[in-house]
Amino acid sequence: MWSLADSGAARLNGASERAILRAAQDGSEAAVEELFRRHWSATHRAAYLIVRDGTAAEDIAQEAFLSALAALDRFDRRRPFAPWLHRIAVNRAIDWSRTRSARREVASGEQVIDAATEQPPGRVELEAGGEVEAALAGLSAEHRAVVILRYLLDYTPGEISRMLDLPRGTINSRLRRALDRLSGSLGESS
Amino acid sequence: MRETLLREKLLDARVPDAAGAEERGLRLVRTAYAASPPPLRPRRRSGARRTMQAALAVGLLAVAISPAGAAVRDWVGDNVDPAREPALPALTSLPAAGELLVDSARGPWVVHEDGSKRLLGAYSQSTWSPRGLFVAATAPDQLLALDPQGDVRWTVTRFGSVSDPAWSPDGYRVAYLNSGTLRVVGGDGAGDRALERPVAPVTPAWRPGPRHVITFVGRDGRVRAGDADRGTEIFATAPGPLPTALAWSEDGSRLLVVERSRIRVLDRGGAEVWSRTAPPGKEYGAATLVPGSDRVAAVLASRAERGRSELLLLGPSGRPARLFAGPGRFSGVEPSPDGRWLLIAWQSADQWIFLDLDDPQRVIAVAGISAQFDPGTTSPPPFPELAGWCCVSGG
Repeated sequence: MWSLADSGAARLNGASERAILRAAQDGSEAAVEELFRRHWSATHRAAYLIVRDGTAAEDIAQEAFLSALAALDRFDRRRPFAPWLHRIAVNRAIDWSRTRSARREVASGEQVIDAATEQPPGRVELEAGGEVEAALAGLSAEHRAVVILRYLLDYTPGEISRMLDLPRGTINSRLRRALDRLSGSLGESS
Repeated sequence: MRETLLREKLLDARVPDAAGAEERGLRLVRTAYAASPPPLRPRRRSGARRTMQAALAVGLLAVAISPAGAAVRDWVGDNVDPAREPALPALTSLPAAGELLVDSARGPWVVHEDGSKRLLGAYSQSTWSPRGLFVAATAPDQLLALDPQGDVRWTVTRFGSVSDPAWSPDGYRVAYLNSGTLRVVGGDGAGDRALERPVAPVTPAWRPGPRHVITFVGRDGRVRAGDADRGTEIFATAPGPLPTALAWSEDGSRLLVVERSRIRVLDRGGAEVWSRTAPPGKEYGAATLVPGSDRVAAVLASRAERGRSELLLLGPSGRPARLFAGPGRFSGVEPSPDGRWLLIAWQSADQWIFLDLDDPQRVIAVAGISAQFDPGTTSPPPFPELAGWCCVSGG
């Protein structure tokens, strides 16, 4: 179960999303895999750019998929799947960022490994931040979320206001403030 | 700034280990979808499955009306009821080197060889690191690493419940459960990640050896082993009754699987080496591999409310030997680091029993255990649980 064998998802490559959703609702594992393949990358990237933590982003994307699948039988397949999934992921990412800022997560940087050898095998690679990540770090999670929904996932301000349960004016003002700060950080003028 | 430029930068931003994350995500989604009942898996029940369930019901009925267990007389070979010394009123020392970890209502305690003890804090489900330098424990939504003085060295916070930590034998990984997901974090608190979901609420066990092989139980009762770093599966047993505990031998050659109805010992590849089924009306409780041997010390208890418990020594051949027996419940059994002593937690008598395996007639009983781990309380405190008897610290 841990190895990734070829699946029947390839047969669904060209199918419409509605057909895939219908198949998934009928219990097709291949359809679920196809949904995953179509939507994982953007969801994971969005989560990462909001939380700026690789492990947390992976968790958030996984949990968003599992939450969406758990409610799949109630999903109206005439609607697109992505906004539903992205709404779950982005709200979780905002919650995670708020929790992290409210609580100290790692108490100490000193070495605490209880081991007889010196070099940890298969040590987890720590991510290095790039230019845009550094610029996003200057924004609050709420502002990062609005930027990601608008400029990475291409939702309109009206759609974003529904996804985040916020007035449209709030979305517009957050976008303006975020762009102003990003312009300064990235050295671009509007 | 120009919106198109921002779009490009967001699309170009490097997401760490994106391919690995996708692979792990797909694996989790696949297993969660395949293993979960509706509504996550809205599949209609097939005719074949109905037939199988009917056949299973007939099989269970056949077992119920057969005279199964009629031949279990003399199932237990040696009837050794040790000559009991009067119980000591307090724990003044441990009979072997090492430090004992005990989970109480107040939190984990470290009991030193001289009987002195230290409360680590308001945590639960503690477990030793391999050389006893640290303790992993849980709070409702946190995994913590503490030193034996109780100072927190690192924590990992998760949404949902955090439970069942297990430190790898080389010290570089800690596995734990988080709301039905098996997760692994580095021994320094870094690199926390999900490995598998859904899993049963059974503490995972690391196989001693050069690789980070983690063993856990699926919701369908399968015992599964996989490489925690590579994400590859090493073995999975057939579905069956849900085990209550897993434990590897020190050399990584044998895996103890404790179920209520039987004790199983598997080899490194998950094949059964030997097993012992509980007699009718009885069930297995706590069990442990006896260090340096191929034997298992297991509690066998009557299912009756006022029944008896006995501690048996089971092996691949021969009849089980009864090491100790008494009324009520034995809630735990823990070997000393040198393998000579077995500590039995006799909950119903509020006693600990130290049993000398070299001389099973030699028994040290200590009374009033609950109050010693919850001093000053006015109401009857709950009986503490044994969490490990570890090596000499730093050894």
